[in-house]
Amino acid sequence: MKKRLKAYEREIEFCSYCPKLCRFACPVAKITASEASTPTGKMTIIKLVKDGALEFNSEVALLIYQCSGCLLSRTYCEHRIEVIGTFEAIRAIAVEKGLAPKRVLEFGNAWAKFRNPYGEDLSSRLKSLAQARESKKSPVLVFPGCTMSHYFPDTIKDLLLVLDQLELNYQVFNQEYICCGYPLYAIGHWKILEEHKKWLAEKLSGYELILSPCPTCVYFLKSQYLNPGIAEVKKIQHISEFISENLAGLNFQTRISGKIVYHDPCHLGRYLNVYQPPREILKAITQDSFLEFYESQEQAECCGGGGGLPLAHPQIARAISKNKLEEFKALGGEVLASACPMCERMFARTGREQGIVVKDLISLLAQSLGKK
Amino acid sequence: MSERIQSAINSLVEILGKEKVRSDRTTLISYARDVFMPGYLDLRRGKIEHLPWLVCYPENIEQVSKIVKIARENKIPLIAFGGGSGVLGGTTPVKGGVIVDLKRMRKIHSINKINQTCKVDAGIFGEELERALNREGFTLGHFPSSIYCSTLGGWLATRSAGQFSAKYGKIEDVGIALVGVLEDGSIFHTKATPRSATGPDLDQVLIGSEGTLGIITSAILSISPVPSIRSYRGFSFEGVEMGLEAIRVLMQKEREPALLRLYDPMDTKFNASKLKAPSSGCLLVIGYEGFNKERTELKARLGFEELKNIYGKDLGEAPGLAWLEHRYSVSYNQSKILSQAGNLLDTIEVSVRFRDALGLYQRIMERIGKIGLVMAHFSHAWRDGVCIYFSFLVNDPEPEKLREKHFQVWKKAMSACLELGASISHHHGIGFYRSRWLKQELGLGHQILVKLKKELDPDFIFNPGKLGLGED
Repeated sequence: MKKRLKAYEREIEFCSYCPKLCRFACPVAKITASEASTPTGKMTIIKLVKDGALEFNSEVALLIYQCSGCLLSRTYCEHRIEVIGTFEAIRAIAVEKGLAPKRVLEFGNAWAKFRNPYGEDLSSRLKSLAQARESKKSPVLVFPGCTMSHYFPDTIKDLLLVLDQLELNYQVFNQEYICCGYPLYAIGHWKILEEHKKWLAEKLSGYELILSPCPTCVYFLKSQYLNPGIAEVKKIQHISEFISENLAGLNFQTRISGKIVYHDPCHLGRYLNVYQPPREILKAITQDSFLEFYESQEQAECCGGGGGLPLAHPQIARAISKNKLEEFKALGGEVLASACPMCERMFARTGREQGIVVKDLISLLAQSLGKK
Repeated sequence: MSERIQSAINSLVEILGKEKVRSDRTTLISYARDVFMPGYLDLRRGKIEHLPWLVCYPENIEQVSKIVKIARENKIPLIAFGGGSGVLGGTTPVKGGVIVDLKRMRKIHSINKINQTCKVDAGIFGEELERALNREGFTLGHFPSSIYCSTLGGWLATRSAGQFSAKYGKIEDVGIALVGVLEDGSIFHTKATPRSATGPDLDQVLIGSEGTLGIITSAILSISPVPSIRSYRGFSFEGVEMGLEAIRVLMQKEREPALLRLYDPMDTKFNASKLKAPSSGCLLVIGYEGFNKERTELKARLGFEELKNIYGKDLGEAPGLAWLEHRYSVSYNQSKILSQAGNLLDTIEVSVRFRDALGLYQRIMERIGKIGLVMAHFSHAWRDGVCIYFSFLVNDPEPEKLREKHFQVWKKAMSACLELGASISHHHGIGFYRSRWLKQELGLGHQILVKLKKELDPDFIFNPGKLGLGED
């Protein structure tokens, strides 16, 4: 254990000796109210395990899955510590030792058949979209990702509509598996991930630019596949970055009205440092009349959907998104706009009964361009 | 586990539900320590002491009342818990017992703009409360450096102070009324009135009682409009003596700022680069703020002129603004220092009248300086005196020797306070660690406190072992 955690020594020590300065912002600790759930609480338990003072068992493992990986704690840490890296490493050990929560252990089998978290052949959903563009050989690839394909296939159509108006020559990822592998990484199935990474790296090679509407895919492809490097890929961008650079090429037909509140996805914001591009798009389509949550950009609060939290601790994940929706209502919001399929899924599900409208900003953009 | 405790657990689960009563080991470990510094020596050695028996998470005052009744019936210690950021072991379950974590009670019930008050639950974090008030155009004006990790309940329990205390006062000055639970489970509400002449002030009996007389669950607090005018400066003084004189003059000649901090030569040197100030002499950081432009600017001008008159060198606004930017940074040093084996740091804050301030400072510096590295700043200025805030670092490769050195520093500082009639604590409170000096501090007053305790909590269920109460 000590050896495996060597790379995280600084994080473990600094957090364990900290008076919990980031704790007020931790979305999980806000829900549980438990000292154990705070970043410091979890790191202290890890320190005791690492130092041999506490047994590593399923109780400890369950606690370490209490994190959405939102990186909000980093915002309030002057040492800029990212606790999730340590948790992911411990989770990998928990999976290996069979100590991870049951739903996490079972995930490996569920993933195996179609290589995505949804147990469904998602490639069939993209086939017709992809085939329509296959004749155009292009160095630009649109990688929709599994969550967008599973929950919001219409958003992918909206995205292609926008790209078509920009007259971009591109292809849509058309392979049997369409997951980047992040879910495996986040919950600790690192061994299964290795094989998938090899397969995916091969399929991605040859493209120069990869665009995705999923910030998790963009983050994960950049962090896991660009180094040592997929052959020839020079750039991986979230779609909002690409579109904001090309707004002049779009022909806006309608101003989108109503109280739109923008939610910064953690993977797009704190992971990729992409804050302005989605706002540039929203500015263009609303004529600068969208709203912000009380806490935004680097301080934005999480939807609860990241880091495998909905799998290991679904009640906590839902409670986090419910908290954020309370704020949305207090702001008088009519449309909750975001730029991440997982955030949108969390909010749509939690807000279903209250009739909360959740939209990807690309769909709002398509609407603004006159989509029927 | 005894039958009595098991029976209490069963009753608690019945009231709160299984999810809100936790006895798993990871949870219990997480409540065994607060930020009491020698506790980190145990962490360093992997030693786990003072585990509570269980932790419960009430969501409303009725549940707190039921918990108290169960504890009373079964004679089980109850420790109210907020952020666990205290530095004197105030929430350490030294006698075991049940932790009552109040963080599920953190609602802002109302903000009354006419009265300029708010009613808030005790479990809210300071930063959460301040941000919510700011959205409505108000501030509590209470900014302890622990604001990210301490709760309103903790502030009230320990009589905490914030960095702008010269303008807004300490928490006891903004706490207008309290709601809580007494030992028989009854729910009390003190009256929110501007002032009253109806016997002793019961709020002031409970504020600072560190959870030993009852559990405070919410409070009505005085709030102020968010200041729109701010003026910060740095001044340099030749030595502590002149700097202290400057503070006295400002506080006694109607030039009171909101922020006033004088760093001694070592603390100045330590903070110089961060605060954009010279590393020699004594840095004084001063800030005026308010929402009345004319009044605030006039006061600032008079204050700054006064400082120049008493030989303060004006360093411009850069040190003041730098201080503002780094106002909470000091707490981040803890990780860096404590993660190095053999180190132990701590702080001691004491309260002293102007007449004795320099003498006390010199006496403590001399005594502690023989054991470890020490520096100090003077903050929280009042009309009659100041808080001296000592920061010290002791070092020894042997954990027990290190613990002993730490104790010797405390002993010497506390005895110096008692010799000179200063108070042994300005705003961190007593907890269990300072209890040993409290009887001497209060004299006959401690017997009054004991009588009060026996009347309000005859079975000593509330936080035993703190404030020198229920140690046996």
